[in-house]
Amino acid sequence: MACFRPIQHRGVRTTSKYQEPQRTPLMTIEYRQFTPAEHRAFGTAIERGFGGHYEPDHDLYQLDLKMFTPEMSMGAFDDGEVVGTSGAIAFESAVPGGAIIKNAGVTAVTVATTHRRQGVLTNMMKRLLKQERDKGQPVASLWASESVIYGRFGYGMSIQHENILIDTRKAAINNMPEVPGKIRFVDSDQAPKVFPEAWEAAVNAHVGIPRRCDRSWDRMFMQSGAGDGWSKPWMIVYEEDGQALGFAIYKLKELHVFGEQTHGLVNADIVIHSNPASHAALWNHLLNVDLYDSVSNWRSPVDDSLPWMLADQRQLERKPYDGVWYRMLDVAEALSTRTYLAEGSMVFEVEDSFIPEWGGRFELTGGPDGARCVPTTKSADITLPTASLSTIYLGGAKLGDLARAGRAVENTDGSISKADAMFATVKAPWCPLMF
Amino acid sequence: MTIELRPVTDDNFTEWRKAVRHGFGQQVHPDDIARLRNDRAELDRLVAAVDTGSQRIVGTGGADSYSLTVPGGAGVPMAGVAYMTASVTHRRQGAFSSMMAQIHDAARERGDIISGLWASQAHLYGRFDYGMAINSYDWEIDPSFGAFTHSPISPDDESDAHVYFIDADEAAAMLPGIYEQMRLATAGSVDRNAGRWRYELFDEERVRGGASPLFFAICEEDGEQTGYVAYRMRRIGDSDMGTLEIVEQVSVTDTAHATMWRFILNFDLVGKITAENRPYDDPLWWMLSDPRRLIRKSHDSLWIRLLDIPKALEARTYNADGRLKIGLVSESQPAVAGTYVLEIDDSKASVKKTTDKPDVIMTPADLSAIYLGGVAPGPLVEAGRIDAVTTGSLAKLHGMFSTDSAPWCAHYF
Repeated sequence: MACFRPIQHRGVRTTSKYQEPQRTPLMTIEYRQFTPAEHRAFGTAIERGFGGHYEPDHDLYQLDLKMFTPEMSMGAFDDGEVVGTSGAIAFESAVPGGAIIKNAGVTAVTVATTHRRQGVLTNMMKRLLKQERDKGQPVASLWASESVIYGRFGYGMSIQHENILIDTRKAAINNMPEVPGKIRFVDSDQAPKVFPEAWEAAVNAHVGIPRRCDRSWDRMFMQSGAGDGWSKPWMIVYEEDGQALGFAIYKLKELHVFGEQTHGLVNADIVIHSNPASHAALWNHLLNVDLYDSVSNWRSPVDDSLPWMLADQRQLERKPYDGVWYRMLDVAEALSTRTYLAEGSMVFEVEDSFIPEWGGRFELTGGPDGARCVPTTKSADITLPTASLSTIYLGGAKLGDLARAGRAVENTDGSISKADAMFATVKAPWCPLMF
Repeated sequence: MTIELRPVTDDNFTEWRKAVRHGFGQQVHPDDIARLRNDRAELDRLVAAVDTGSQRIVGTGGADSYSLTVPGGAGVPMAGVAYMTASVTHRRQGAFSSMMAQIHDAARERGDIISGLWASQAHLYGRFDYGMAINSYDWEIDPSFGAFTHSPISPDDESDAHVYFIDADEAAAMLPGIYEQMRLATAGSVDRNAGRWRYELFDEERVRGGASPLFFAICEEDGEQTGYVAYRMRRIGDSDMGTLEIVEQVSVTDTAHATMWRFILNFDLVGKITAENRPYDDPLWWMLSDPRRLIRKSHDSLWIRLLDIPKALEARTYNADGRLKIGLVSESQPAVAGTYVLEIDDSKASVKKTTDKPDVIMTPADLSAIYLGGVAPGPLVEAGRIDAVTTGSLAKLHGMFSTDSAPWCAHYF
């Protein structure tokens, strides 16, 4: 896990649309950013919300605390005590077409067990989203600790990922793009010098990967020690003409009983690539680690080309899950910034039940060279909640599928098919950074 | 030792059928030989590889006749390749390849435009120019997490959609009509004739794998039957909580889908629901309040090979108009190699060969993989399989071949 551990809040399971739970208003709950004097208390509340793994003197705890500043925070306080935490990292990430947009990376969302069902999460989230929009961020995104929680706040499952497991004894590679570069091992002194260059290449090559700050790198290297029977992390970089275009960090676990066939697992914790050659070279390396017969990776893009490199695709087990959820904060700005696969024009009626003033009717005119999206009074071709528009924004899902689940309504015949042709991308979005 | 391909007739059908099952590691029940003969097998489409020394069958193969729905809704004749085995005693003697060649030649002569198959192993058929054209999901869900936040049936909807149980005789009468509507509207689906329905619904003890007999339920809207489910219950030990195993669930409307899954996820005494081969774009994932509880495992489903490339390309419709030159390279089929101009006007294609330079270059297998719209070309480009030569050609290829819905083949053969 990266900067902060994922969002945790035990959501209310409902059988129909989410309803605000019954509650007694507690007048003493106050929502605001924490003050410098409350820094430590805020950090402790976050830590408690995620199960309390680290004591305050732990390096990771200290590092997290340093990353968390008052301006990015929104907390809930009951009589001065921290009872709810949240925050947003000022990310930048690419949208289809290659433009880099600001993106509020929501994290550290907790509500104290003592203050359940009092609207703390709802109130906190509303203020956090407004605060982030005021900073000029058109979208917010998050990793959900549980998939039941965030739909009600207008988030949609935008970037799916796959858990993959490969039996390398049977997974021969029979298709490779040309690989002009080379892989080399790097140690913990060299890695921080070359990995950021590869990361930046990946930010520009894929939709959805946030740029990362120095502390985010520090955290990654700090937490990647050995333990639980795992080897130390092995780090490799892929370079072409001295330029780093990809890297991987993997750990090994031997499950070997002496006298029996050796076997073991390669946990490819992170595989970052920015072109077909770096992807192919890194995976070729991971599939050829001596003495180890399976490889796992929990953050593969859903359209990874690895299955198409293998002689036997079935040796690769794939389980998709909801990865990163997006939430539009400024529809017109967000839709204007990306490009579209097909030329077209249409009007969306966006229903934002959580923050109604952000909804409304928007006319989008776009194509491969750019787009314009403005508020309009024309009649809407498609009516949909903000979560659905957020879901399809990066091209990772089809509006047609959402419509079949009752998540969008077509007012003009053929407009959903047209929207899907416009919003389609040749590559799925991907976010290998857990935040 | 010489191997000779011979036709399958009533004289050698029993031996042939035993050889097929033997190849898959099974003994065959005598009644099932007759069942295949009566309800499914087309003798003139079957082939036996015979060792001329021992006069024994050492390889089997054949095809069923189907109509495959392609994007746009047209039905094209398809050879459904099945029964493929080569005896362990006769490996590496070309029996398998010569049977495949004969099946393809015979299919082309009959006018089949495509051949398709379900692969027993995923590495076998690429060399015969098949491309993996449809992915599906195997599902598992604990029904206590089956609440919906979204449904195509809005609360003020006046749909009278409802579910009722039917018995096996009623199922035999009602299911085919619903399936037929679904398959005509779904790319990747194939027809089932009356014999095949008998074959599919056969439910004696020996085919149940230790689970219950088949149960059936129907969804009805406004007097129309619009969906069904066939399932088995499996009790595990003394546990009260059984597993509900969905054998087939078909919906014609979104309302039927939502109604059927609301029903399925409401069962008492069920700890787990499993369903194999669900459509890649099934909307249930988008309806659940806690979608992560729906565990999805990706699986290759139908593989196809375009037997007549121009006809196949002209049979489907396309999502974008334009002109794209597709270069095909093939060592196995030198006759189809060359460049094809795909001219799409008003979603329809006309195809002719050209001597111009291609925009994209690929093998017939990879063209087959993207043909139904179930496989996006981007990953194939990244894997070094498709060469997007001209600028913008990948976006063009993607835009043309993509489809609104994912293809699905509910029928296993």
